[in-house]
Amino acid sequence: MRNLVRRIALAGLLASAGFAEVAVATSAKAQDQNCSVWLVESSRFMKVPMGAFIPDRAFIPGSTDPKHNINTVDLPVNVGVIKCGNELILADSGWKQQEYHKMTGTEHWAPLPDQLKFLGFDANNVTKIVIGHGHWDHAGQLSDFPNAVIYIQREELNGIEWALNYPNPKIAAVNTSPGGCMRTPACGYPPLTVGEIYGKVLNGKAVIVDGEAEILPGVKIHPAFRGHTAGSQLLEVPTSIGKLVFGSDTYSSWEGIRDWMAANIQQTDTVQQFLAYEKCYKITGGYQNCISAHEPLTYTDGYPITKNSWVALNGGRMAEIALAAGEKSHKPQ
Amino acid sequence: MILPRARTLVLSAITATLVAMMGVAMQRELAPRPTPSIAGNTGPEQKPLGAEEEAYAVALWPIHSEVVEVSAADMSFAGIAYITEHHDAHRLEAKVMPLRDRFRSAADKARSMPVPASMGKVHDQYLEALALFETASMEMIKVAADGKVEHLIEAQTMSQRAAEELLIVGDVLWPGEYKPN
Repeated sequence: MRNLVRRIALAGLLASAGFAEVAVATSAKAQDQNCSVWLVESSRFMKVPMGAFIPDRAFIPGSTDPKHNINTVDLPVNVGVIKCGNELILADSGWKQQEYHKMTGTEHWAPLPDQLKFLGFDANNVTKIVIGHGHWDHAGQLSDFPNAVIYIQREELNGIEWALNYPNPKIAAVNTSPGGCMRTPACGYPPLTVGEIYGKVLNGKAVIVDGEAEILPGVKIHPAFRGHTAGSQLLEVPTSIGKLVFGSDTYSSWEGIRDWMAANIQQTDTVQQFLAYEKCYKITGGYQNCISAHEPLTYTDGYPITKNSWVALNGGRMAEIALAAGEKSHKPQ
Repeated sequence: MILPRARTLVLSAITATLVAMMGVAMQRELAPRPTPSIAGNTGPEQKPLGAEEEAYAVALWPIHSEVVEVSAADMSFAGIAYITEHHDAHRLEAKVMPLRDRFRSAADKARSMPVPASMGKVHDQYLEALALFETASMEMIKVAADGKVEHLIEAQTMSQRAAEELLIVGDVLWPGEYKPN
């Protein structure tokens, strides 16, 4: 009996040692896989009514309640720049402003390739672009990254195509005004943006994703279907400060995640949006490392993970979020 | 004949000049490029449309939003489905043919509309975009005849040009057409 106990204890010790070895190896591997992360403000939508962004924080004139005393907010359009080893990845690609495509009320737009150059990167070296969803202000400028492969969910493409072919033209409309569509199923997918995605497909530079996908060790795509659009997706990134999750517009508002409030409701099922919020809590251990696409507090102390920021091209802002071992700061001194 | 010391001086001067030129070139290359002028709130105010122009914009809107934009986006999806799913050229043709007819019909409707003189250029631009979409759709259909993917690439280029034309017209007729999504 004593021998048996001794044997079990010995086996336990060996197992523990083995486990420890595995844990060390995993930890070392995770450290190797750490990525550096920056955030770039592609542009800023000015004076958007708070109630249009977060319905439960709609402005009430004269109110002193902090939930109802903000009339309008300026929304950044955030693009994630992620460097993992030799791979350069974008989380979303902003939109392309032209003389003919001004987007009323926008300021601080600059071409994304120029912004990357300011940050010390070459647009030709971008290898992957993960499109959180296909709306015009998140899937633009794709043709400016000729070597990048885009990742988009099949569910997103199917959702748009279904909507475009819906027999009621009011439901099938892709446009937003005057009276064309307002949060309807195909709203926000103009021909130019859809054509950019199609261009990537034609050039063999698109991966149509079905649900989960690991695009690099530790860099994972998670589906968040109907969290903002039919085929929205999240991007998990391992860094030296823990895991980050880029939520595109499923996480339009970081305060929304923190306070459990639905935000930027478009083709959105709010149940799925809340489940996507929960996903970030589960992956990162809280809400601090959830990266929002339009959080008004971005680049300020109010959104701590983005506070290490500076003003770059045309008044647009950038933030350095995490550096992998050996990566020097890209923040101008 | 140049004396050795003089030759050294000349070589040094040339080297210094080259180094200085490289320095200036690198500085220019590394400096952030000036960005194009940014429109939006900072740009000049657009002149509001007159009554006749407004009526024209309102009349064109259903054609634009309910037929042209939807069909243009759908044409891209026909190509995406062909490349990524079925690879059936006849199915592609069956999908694109009705879109070609929709562009043609939209152009006929637009041509029959009363157009204020001040909107002549915009109107022509819109018709050009519709013609481009129609041509692009016919180019796509050629895949059914010879199976060559080059037709799709050519068609996509034309469609993108047409889509830009739509935005140019939209900027005049329906400013604020796009809102944050």
